[in-house]
Amino acid sequence: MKKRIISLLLIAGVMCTTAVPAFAADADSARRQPYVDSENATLADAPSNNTMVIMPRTAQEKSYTIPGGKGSITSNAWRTTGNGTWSGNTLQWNYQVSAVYSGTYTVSKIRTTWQGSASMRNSASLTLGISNSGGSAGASSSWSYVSTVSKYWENSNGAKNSSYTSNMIATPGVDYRSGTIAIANEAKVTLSGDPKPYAINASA
Amino acid sequence: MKKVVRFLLLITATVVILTSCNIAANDTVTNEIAPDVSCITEDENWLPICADGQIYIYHQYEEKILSYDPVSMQIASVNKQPNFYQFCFAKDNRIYTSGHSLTNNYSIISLHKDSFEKLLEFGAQESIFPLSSSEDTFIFIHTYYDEDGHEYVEQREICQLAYNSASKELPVYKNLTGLMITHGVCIGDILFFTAYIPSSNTYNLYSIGIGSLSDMPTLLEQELAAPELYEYNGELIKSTQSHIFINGDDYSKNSINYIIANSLIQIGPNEYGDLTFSATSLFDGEIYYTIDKIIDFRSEDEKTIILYGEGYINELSVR
Repeated sequence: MKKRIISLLLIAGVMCTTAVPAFAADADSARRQPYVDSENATLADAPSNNTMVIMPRTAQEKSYTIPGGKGSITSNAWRTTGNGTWSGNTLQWNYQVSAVYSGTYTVSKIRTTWQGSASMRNSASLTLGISNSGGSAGASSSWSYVSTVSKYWENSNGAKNSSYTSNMIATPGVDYRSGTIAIANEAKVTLSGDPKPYAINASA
Repeated sequence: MKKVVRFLLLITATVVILTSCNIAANDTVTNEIAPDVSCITEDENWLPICADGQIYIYHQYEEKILSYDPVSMQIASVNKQPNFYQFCFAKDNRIYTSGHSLTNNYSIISLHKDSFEKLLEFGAQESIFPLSSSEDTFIFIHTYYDEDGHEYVEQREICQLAYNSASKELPVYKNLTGLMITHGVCIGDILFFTAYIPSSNTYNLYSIGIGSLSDMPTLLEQELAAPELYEYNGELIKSTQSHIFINGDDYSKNSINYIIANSLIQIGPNEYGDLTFSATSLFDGEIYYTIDKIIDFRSEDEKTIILYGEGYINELSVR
């Protein structure tokens, strides 16, 4: 009897030390490294200079199984937490967004579409770290929500992922309302032979 | 023996707590689940209503019909729900299809300047997509699914609808059923189309008379690398994943590609992640017009197109 109890406990221990940490390790490695698809690298996959610093971050990874057993589509969004890092008179947050298809079907197109938002005032602006990406608050000293324009990246070369890494910038940082920064991402995939696109959102 | 049991219990509990803390510390939410379609109601699959002065246009890249304010030159309303999309015919903005990738309930929509009507509605286990059009004949891909979303590929069929027809029937091409057709183009009275071959990840090219519903298709070519087809000066234009071959020249493919007059019209993200419209002359390869933040364009005739963007409405004379 005692042997059975010990065996059961050992099995339970093994299950806990394999299944859960494997899940956690995957999520952690995805957050700590800017994702670069070495085989199908694109301009958008190139990490920015600001992405190698390991900082506290918040992230969301959402996925679902595509009907018909066609694999899964995952949307990832992560950014550094807190109220950003000061650089001059700006506050900055690193972010990464990606779309990942897991499955055996051939990908026709996979794209990631993202948008930042924050509460700002006094005509302050929020940008996504690339050109023409800004949104500005009104001239009022009252807080108002500012959304950046949407940005897009797409791979249609058979790659199973599409990602982008950069930093959000609030200018001037003093007109950013604490705790309101967010990044939202839509992942969308089209598989060869299937006329339907499949999409999912994540935000952090 | 009790000490051994307690020790093992302690180790197990510690591992569970540590792994839980690891997830919490990184503030991550992870969900990998089958799509929860129970919360998606038909009411959520709405199309925007045009207020006074607003018009309907189509977001070419995001595949959404939206209402647009031509005064502010901005999007007035759009249903951003993921998986709810509308699909257009190339070069014809009268007919669209609309539906949800997970719950289906597709419909064929007749879109007007500031109103729309559903011409036909399909069930929860069907979908309908544009294939190609020729004057007033619109040709569709009609697919069927089981309750789990598996497509009955052997039932995929090609059917057509006559514009302004009172009939709710969709006559089917009898000998095309079961082919994994995804792209096509009408040239004259011929429909050219490609069918996907999963085993080789290539496409077969076929043709059939547009009005010849009972004919057998003609197999023209095998092992094409990409399914997209175009027409230029009455000639069939093929493509690879990355290039379009026109009159002996090859042009880089973009996300969305049309040939209008003597120009290659393209839409896709540029290096800064902006949606860019470009027009390239097929005479000399010159990119003679580009503009960012494009939403839609409407071809007034073969010489002029109207561009609708975020913050502009421009007219372009096409070369």
